Amino acid sequence: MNLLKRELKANAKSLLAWCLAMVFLIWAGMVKYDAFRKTGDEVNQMLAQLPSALVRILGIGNGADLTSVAVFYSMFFLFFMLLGAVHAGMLGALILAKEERDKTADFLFSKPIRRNRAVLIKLLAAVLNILVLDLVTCLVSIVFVERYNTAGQSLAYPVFLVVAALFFLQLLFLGAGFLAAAAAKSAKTASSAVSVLILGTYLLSVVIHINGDLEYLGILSPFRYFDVNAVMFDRYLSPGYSALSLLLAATCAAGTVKLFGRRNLRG
Amino acid sequence: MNIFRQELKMHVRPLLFYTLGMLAAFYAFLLLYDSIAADAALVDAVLANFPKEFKAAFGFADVSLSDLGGYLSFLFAYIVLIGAVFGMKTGISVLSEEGRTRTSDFLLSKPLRRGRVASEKLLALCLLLAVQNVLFFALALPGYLSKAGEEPNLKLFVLMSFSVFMVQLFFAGIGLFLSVLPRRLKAVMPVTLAVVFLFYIVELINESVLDKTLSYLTPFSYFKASELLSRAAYDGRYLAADLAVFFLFTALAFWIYEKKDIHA
Repeated sequence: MNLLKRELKANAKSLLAWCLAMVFLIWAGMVKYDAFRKTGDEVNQMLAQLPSALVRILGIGNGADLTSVAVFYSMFFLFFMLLGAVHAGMLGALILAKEERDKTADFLFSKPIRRNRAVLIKLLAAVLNILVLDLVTCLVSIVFVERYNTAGQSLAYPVFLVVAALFFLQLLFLGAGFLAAAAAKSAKTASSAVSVLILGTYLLSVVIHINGDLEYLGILSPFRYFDVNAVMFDRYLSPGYSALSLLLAATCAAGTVKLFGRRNLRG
Repeated sequence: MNIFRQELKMHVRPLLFYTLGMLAAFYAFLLLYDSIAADAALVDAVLANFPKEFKAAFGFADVSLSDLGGYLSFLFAYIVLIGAVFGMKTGISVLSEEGRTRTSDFLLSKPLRRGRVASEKLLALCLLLAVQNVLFFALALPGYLSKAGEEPNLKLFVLMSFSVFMVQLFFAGIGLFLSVLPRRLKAVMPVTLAVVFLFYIVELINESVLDKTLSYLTPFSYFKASELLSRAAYDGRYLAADLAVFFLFTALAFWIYEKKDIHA
């Protein structure tokens, strides 16, 4: 329990910074939305006529009514994914690798707890961090979205589903971070590997977006797992991809326990 | 000049990796061009009916999709994004690496002023970024020429390619500054990616609401390829903003670094 407390405390400051960044992002986006919805009707009409090839390259929603708060908010999913992937991936890579980097590995791992247990407690601490960030994201989103919601029907549930999708993806990147830390020589290499993963899968999702024929590669890019339009408007959170995210995260966790269990720790 | 040489040596591998990443993205976009080109004529016909203001707001006033330069102008932002990550990462690394590896006492007990140490590091940083841009340009050019048809718009390609450098300067300055603030910066990549993506997201929001008022906030809107296409030059105001940020934050970083209490 001491380890859990210690980890939560050690990450509290960075978690606070992440929460503030998220709140700033939602606030700034919504302020822009407020200005936009008053003048947006003409833009909408033109957007509706845009040819789909151009829409794909511009990366904007197809035929979407951007003056509706639900449509506008659905854009945020990409932003959440980008920031969430960085948060979870880096947290995972560093929470494990930092002991060797800071030369505290001998201190921690000579305590009378099993190494696996230490790893699992760190995993738990990281998941709690992600939960807090997602909870803040969810609550702040609901407050802002409801403020501009004129449709009559509450959007709280779809927003919750969007953040749930974010949570699954973050677990996936967290797992990847842990695995990188267990496999890599140093904290530096681990965090570089996770950066490559995030940038690479993001660019892959862009490439798939441009050329629909490459849809089958979507399974390789977590940024393609959840279609935000389905989540937001049909309230459909793909159970297949949710399960896949969890499965991949669990596999990474198992791999980490296995690899880290026989790691030769440098003090 | 030993510090200068050492910095170059330390960053040459990441430099090659990131340049490869930029080239991979570039050639992937080139390959996808054929799948878009089929629709391009249709797109151009539809666009001809749009009011000019609307097209200007979306950044495709003079863009023709059936032209390779026009197509790439939409996608170059992703290559700039990769470059920005490298610029920020290297900017953060150079002044803070000794703190992480606990070699500050080794470096700073040399008979050199701190200003000199920082200058050599800055010089290495600028050279690394310049080399990356030249490498990218030289290796991407054949691809561009092979697909660009009879009359390649070379000037546009030069402007686009080196816009990476300009954006990198912005992030390098911010990186230098952020790296000297904490007593010991423990990890480079989390700060790098978080800051770069935040600026990138601000640009995405600006783009989707067609708002130019906040474009000074993010370097990703300073040298947008679609603007370069119609203007055929960098916009002086944005160029000034970009360089101002670089010089201001670099100067601040130097000032702090010279006075900083270093814990070995």
